Amino acid sequence: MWQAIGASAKGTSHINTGSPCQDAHGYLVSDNIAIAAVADGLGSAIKSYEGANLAVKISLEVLMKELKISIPANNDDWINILHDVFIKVRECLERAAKEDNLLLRDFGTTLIVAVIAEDWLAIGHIGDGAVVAFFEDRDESIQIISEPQRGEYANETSPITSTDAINIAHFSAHKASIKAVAIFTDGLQNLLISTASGKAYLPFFTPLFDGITQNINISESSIQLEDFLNSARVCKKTDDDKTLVVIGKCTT
Amino acid sequence: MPIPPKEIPFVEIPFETSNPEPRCPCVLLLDTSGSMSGVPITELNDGLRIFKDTLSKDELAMSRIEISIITFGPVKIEQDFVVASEFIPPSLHASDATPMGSAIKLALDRLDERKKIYKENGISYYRPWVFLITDGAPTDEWQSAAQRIHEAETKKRVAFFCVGVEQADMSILSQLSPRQPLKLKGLNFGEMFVWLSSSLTSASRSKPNEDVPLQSPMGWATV
Repeated sequence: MWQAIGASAKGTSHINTGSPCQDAHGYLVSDNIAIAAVADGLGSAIKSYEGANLAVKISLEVLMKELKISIPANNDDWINILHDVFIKVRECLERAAKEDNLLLRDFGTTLIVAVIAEDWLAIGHIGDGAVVAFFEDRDESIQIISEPQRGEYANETSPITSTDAINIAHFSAHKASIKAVAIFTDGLQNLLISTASGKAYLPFFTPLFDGITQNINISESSIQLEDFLNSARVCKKTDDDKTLVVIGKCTT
Repeated sequence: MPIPPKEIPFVEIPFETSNPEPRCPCVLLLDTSGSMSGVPITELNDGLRIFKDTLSKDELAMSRIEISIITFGPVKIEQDFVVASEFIPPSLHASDATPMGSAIKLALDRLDERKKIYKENGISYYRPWVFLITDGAPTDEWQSAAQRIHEAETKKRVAFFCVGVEQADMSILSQLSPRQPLKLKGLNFGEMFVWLSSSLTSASRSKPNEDVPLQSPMGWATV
C-alpha cells in the first residue's frame, strides 16, 4: 500500500569542480511500513560522500531490524529507536574513520530518517533539510513536520559527526493518520519552503502528494523526479546537490 | 478494465521562486583623511569602480553581496547597505583627521542592525566582512574599538580585515584585529578590489560548514 520515489542529483557547483554528489538517500516500503533516510555530506568533509552513503545504509538496516521485532506503540519507544539509529550510525562512521586513519568529522553529513508505521510518523533529524507531511486528519493538511536546523549563518549546520550530535538532533514521533511524506536536503530548501511564511510551498506539494497517493508507475516517476532535479529551471535556482524522497499511501 | 497509471506533473510542477537570496554584507571602512589626498584617493576611487565591475561578472554575487561604505576623516556613512547590483561607486574626497576608532564602532553597530533586519524578514545571511583601508594611524581613541573587533571575531560575528597603505601604522593595525594586517603593494587598489570581489563571491556561495576558499592576497599585498 505504501509506495515511494526518490532521487539525488549533483549540484551544478559540483559538476563544475568534478566532485561527486554528496547527497544520498534510500527507502524501503511494505504494505504497512515505510522507512526512508536522506543525508547531505558536508562540502568541508573529505569523505562526505562515504559519510552520507554509510549513514543512509546503516539507518535503514537498524530500523528494519528493530521494527521486525516490534512496532513501538508509544512516543518514548519511538524516540528510543531513533536514538539507537543515530548512535549506531555514529559508531559506524567512527569505525570507517579509524580504518582510513581519518577523523570522524571527515565523514561529516546531515541525516534525516523517517518512519511511517501504523498510525505513527517518527522522525530523527540533524542538520538542514526538512520533512513535509500530508495529514489525513489535520486542518492544515500539508505542513513542515521537521524544520531545517541551521546556525546563525546560511553556511552553518550541525552534522551527525559533531561531538554532541545526539543532543542537538531532533527526535519526534507523531500519532497521526499520514497520507504522504516528503524528505529533502538543503539544496531544495529555498525552492520548497517560503522564506517569508516559513511554510511549505503548497503549489509544489499539492500536486506531488496528489500523485504519490494514486496509482503511478514508480520507476517511471523516479526517473521523472531525477530529470526534474537536473532540469535547467531547478539548476537556475540552486547550485547545490539536491535530494527528494516522497512516500505515499496509494489509495486507488 | 484497469485504470491507467497517473503521472506526477514534474515537467510543469511549480516551486517557490520569490524567496530572497541569502545576503553577504560587507562594510568598506575607508580612510579619507588629509594624507590620502592626491594620487592615493584617486587610485582608491578607481579601485572602487573595479570592485563594482568585477562583482558584475557574477549574477548570483550581485544579488547576494551587500555593500556599505563608511569613511573616516570625518566619520560618515557614505553608502548605506545596498545589494551589489545597486551599488554605484562614489567619488571620495580626502580631508580632515583619522577618527578610525569611532568609524570601527559605527561599522560594527551598523552590522548588528543589518543582521536584525535580516532576521525580521526571514532572510538568511553569511558572516559579514569588514574591510578597513588606511594610510595612517587613528587620531582618536581606538583601543576600545580593537577590543570590540577581537570580541566579535572570537564569536564569529564578523571577519575583520585591515589593509595598510604606504605610511600606515602597521603595528596599530596588527593590534586592531586578530587577523594579520596586509600591507598594500604601492597603490595597487585595483588588484586588491579584484581579490575582495572574488573572495566575497566565494563566501556568498559557500555551502554549510564549508570553509570559504580564500585566494592568497599575495598579488597585491605583503604581510
